[in-house]
Amino acid sequence: MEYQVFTAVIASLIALLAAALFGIAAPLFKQSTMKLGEITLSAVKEKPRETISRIIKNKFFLVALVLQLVGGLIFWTALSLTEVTLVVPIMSSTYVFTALYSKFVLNETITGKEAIGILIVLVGVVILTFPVA
Amino acid sequence: MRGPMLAIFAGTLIGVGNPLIKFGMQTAGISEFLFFSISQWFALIANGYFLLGMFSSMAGIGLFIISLSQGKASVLNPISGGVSYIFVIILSGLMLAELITLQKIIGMIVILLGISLLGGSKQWNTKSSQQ
Repeated sequence: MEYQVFTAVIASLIALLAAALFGIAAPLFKQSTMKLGEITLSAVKEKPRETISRIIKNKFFLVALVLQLVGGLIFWTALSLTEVTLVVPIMSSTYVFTALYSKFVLNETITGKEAIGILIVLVGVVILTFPVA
Repeated sequence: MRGPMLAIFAGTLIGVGNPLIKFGMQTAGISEFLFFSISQWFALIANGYFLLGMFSSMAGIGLFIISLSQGKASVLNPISGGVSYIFVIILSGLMLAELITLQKIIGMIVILLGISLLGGSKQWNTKSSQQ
């Protein structure tokens, strides 16, 4: 029994690490577009290859992609250690990591209303994925 | 289409993609996916649902990155993620006969509430400092 609890705690920490990597990947994807400024759908339609290659050939894009892949591997590791119903709700903390990175690295301002919105979505995902006893 | 609306559309495509991929795996007769199995990959590549799901997910990720260029990552990420969860639940119920329980319905309503707060934020496109 104690061993199971220990495994569950380790798996939860691993899932939290995966959530952090996924969470940081999103603002990194944003950083990969920053040199191009605001991209519109019509701009992509006009010059699809040029726009896409400028985003992809960016160090931030590569780092974000690596974080997504490593995050995926770590997520699968957590899944293999314990139950899906424990790991998946923990993944909702992704949005907190996105908010923290966006605030402290990209200097995004997060209003009170937005912070509440982020937390409500997080709670919703936990309700959606949490096991009912 | 800009910012939050684009993120909602991106989340829809990503959310629709996942059950389609799983449905494709089921119809291709794959119960346990082994990524190193070449025969399984061939079966999947020949499966319309799988291809549609992959296309939908990838188009969604592309649109998500475009939406990120227009606004705050802290706001757009939960919007698109929340929407994708909702579509996964609805489509899994329709295509994969997974039960939509009261708990899931409550979860979806709470997520929609959060998304409406975030989407209604007038400062979603506040310029973040450029590096």
